[in-house]
Amino acid sequence: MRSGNWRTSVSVGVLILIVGGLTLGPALMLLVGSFSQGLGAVGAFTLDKYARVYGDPRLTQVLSNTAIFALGSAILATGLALTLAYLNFRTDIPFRSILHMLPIVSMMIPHLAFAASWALLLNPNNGMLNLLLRQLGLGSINVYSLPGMVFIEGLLDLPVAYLVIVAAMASFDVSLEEASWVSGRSRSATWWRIVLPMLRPAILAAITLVMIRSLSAFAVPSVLGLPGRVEVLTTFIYRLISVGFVPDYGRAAAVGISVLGVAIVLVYLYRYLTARSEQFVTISGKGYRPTVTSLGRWRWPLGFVVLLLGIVLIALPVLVLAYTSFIPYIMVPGAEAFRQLTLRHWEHVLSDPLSLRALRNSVLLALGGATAGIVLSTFASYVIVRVRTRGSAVLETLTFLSYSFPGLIIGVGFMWLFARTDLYGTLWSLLIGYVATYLPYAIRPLTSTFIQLSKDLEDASAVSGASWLRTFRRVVLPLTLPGILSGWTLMVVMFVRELDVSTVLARPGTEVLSVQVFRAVSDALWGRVAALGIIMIAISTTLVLLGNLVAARFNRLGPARR
Amino acid sequence: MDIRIRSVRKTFRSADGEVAALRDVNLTVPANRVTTLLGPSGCGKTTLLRCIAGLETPDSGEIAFGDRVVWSGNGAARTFVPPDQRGIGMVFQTYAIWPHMTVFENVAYPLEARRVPREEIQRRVLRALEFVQLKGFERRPATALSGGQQQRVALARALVSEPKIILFDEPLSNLDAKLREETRRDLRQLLTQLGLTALYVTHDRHEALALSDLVVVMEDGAIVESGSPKDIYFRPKSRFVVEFLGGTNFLEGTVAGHEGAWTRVRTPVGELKCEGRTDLAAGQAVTVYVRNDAISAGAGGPQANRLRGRVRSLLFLGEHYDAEVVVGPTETILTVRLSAGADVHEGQELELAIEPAGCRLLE
Repeated sequence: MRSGNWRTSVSVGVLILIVGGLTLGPALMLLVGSFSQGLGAVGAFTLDKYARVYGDPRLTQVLSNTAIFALGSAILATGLALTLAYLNFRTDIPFRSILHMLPIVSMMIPHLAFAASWALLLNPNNGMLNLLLRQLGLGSINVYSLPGMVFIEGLLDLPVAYLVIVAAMASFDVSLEEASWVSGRSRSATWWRIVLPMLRPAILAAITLVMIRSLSAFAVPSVLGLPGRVEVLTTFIYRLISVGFVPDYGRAAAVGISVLGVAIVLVYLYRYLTARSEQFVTISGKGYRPTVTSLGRWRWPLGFVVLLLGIVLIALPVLVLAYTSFIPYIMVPGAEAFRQLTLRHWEHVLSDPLSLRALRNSVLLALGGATAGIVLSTFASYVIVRVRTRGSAVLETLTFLSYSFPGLIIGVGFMWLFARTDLYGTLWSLLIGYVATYLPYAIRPLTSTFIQLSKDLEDASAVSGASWLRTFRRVVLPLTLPGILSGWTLMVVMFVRELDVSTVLARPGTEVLSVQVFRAVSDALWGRVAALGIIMIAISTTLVLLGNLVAARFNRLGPARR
Repeated sequence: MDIRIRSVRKTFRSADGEVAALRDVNLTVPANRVTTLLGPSGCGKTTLLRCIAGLETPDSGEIAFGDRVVWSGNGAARTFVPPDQRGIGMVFQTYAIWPHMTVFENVAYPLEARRVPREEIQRRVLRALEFVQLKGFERRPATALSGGQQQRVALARALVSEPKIILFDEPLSNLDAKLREETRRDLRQLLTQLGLTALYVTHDRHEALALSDLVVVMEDGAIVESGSPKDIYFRPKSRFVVEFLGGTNFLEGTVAGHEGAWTRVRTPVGELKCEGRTDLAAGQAVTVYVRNDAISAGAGGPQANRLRGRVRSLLFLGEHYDAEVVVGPTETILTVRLSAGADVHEGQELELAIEPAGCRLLE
């Protein structure tokens, strides 16, 4: 594509229209809705919604809860990530494979299932660990609390922070540390004087990114917060639209606008910090292996901490859910539980027409949505990387902005957009909502795939007389297929577990899997939660592993890039 | 202070197996002189340097700075002085300038680590920066400097604490050709002036010859040869060193006999009058090597060793031509350096003469 070419301008224009409609559309409707009389449809102008919702005495508590929840989980996740990244990159820590699995684990276990498994373990009434602790006379831990929520959300967002920190640490020239040792500073002094200051932008970026995530998190606050009446902004909005006779989408929009504003500020902060972090990038061209510090007698104790973390993050939730799906009610594993093993929950889940319909809807939405989403994001990221016009810059800003949009709030925006149209209450409305909300998650990795593809390869095709379309089909597509495939898998996995948008947009007939799980959690039907949770984990895990396998195969067969 | 290296071995273990990086290296780096470790990549020169700095630990052997043992891996008495207590200066290949600090903070760092009083730090940093001609750059962020300037900051940082020993890990390899030549000259002057024990790792033969008092050539984890730059250039003892220094023709031959101060050798291009090596008996197989610039073309030149050939290819390199000339019935190819003003063309018949003193022999 040459800039200045009219065909380029037209295609960039069309892309901006689609992506802009998907991202700004619901945001604008949210704004319109918040100033609108009426409950779910656009009406006369009013400030009443703002007055009512911001005058709500509960809001102060909600805001302080949200601040503690977002900041707390961000600091926990980043602190853990920093420690693990350093242990992995610069020491001889054992059980390293757990650290390598960390980034993909969060994709395999949906947040909803993870939160539910911890509710099963640590809820104040009959959590399994609490039953055990009480038997031992050690009291109990209440996970239905703000600290509990911070802890679980922090664990869930650990991989997000880890990826940011690892990227910075991997690009950090080891001789920067060595130069400090040679200058007369010990290793620990070097850590404080050189390593930490150099990583500071990356650490702050990780904190900001996790804050964006936990600000829009709905699974943990709803599963662990609602029972103990610890409300954050997302659950506050959820209650506005789901409790009472008539849901008030106007008030939800009025709060949502503020959340959106904060999220946008945070995402700009994140961008600024990552740019600062990249200024510090100094990769040594020599490929010298980083000197690995021996942990000495701390090696095994620290290794077991990593192992424990692996168990807590991966094995425990899966085991707890699998176990719960086979017992009639929550009890500590033992002879009694073994005697009462039952297939009741599985039979129910696999014969209940509602569950089956939800499963079918989820699979349809995941496959259809991911396919539509990946086509759109492939073209969008190609344009962002290769076409350097003002139009492509607009496209970049749009996708980057929508990275911060919380699903639940965008769902409310779509609600205003779809109300009174034929799309209302259809699977199409969910599909559009999904693609709009998760587009940036596919565009970002694809953008880096296209950046890695040398422009010369395309120019060589053009010089050989191939049209742009032929070049794209014969050169660009085959070389970037692994990236595109993994983008597709990522979207499928996100859509199978999607809760935030679905909570708002799903209607009778368009139920999806996660909404069913969420309802079962609200009704404390733990056996059903567990069985559905296992199904979600099984689908996600299979897809992630399959996606990795296919991508690895393509990478092996594929020619060297760059 | 000299650096004494005794029987140092180091093996790297990786998934692909073991690589012997250093095989029993023995070397004394003379005090207050510039020594270079020269060799191709992977020869172990950087590993040796890093062992001296304490960034790498050998498997066995001993390293001492003067009488102070900084590493000993012999028997039960293991000694390891960590890099921060060795009191050395080091310039890294990537310069390793800390991007979150200013030029001043970078250079002041080794002094702060050694708890030098603030006023003295101020004075010594400014002096070091003046020394590397970066006066007035103190407040600049380190990232705002050019490659050459960063290199000089790295040098100032290595010198500021006035170490007895300074180590260089290919410090010029990231500079462009012109800047490299200038810096090489400055560095030579500076090091001569300071009179420190300097150990300098490079794979660039020009750099090694230009900078050092002593050149140590390494290959495959071992020292092949060491000597003054002129010894290494004119009187190398191994084929590896000759090849590594480059620009040389090799001819296999046998000794025909001795004639006065010269030795006569039968080669594929005919009998050649070579350097006198009375230690070689007639009939012994030898390799004759001739540097490109020891061969002259045209009617002039020495009367001995005259050959006729045809120019097969001609490369114009600005300062001179590199010509490939096909010689004799065996069609042996000699590479000859012709002056840039010479009137030659490909296919031309050429008369060549080889300086007998330039015909050197290897067993």
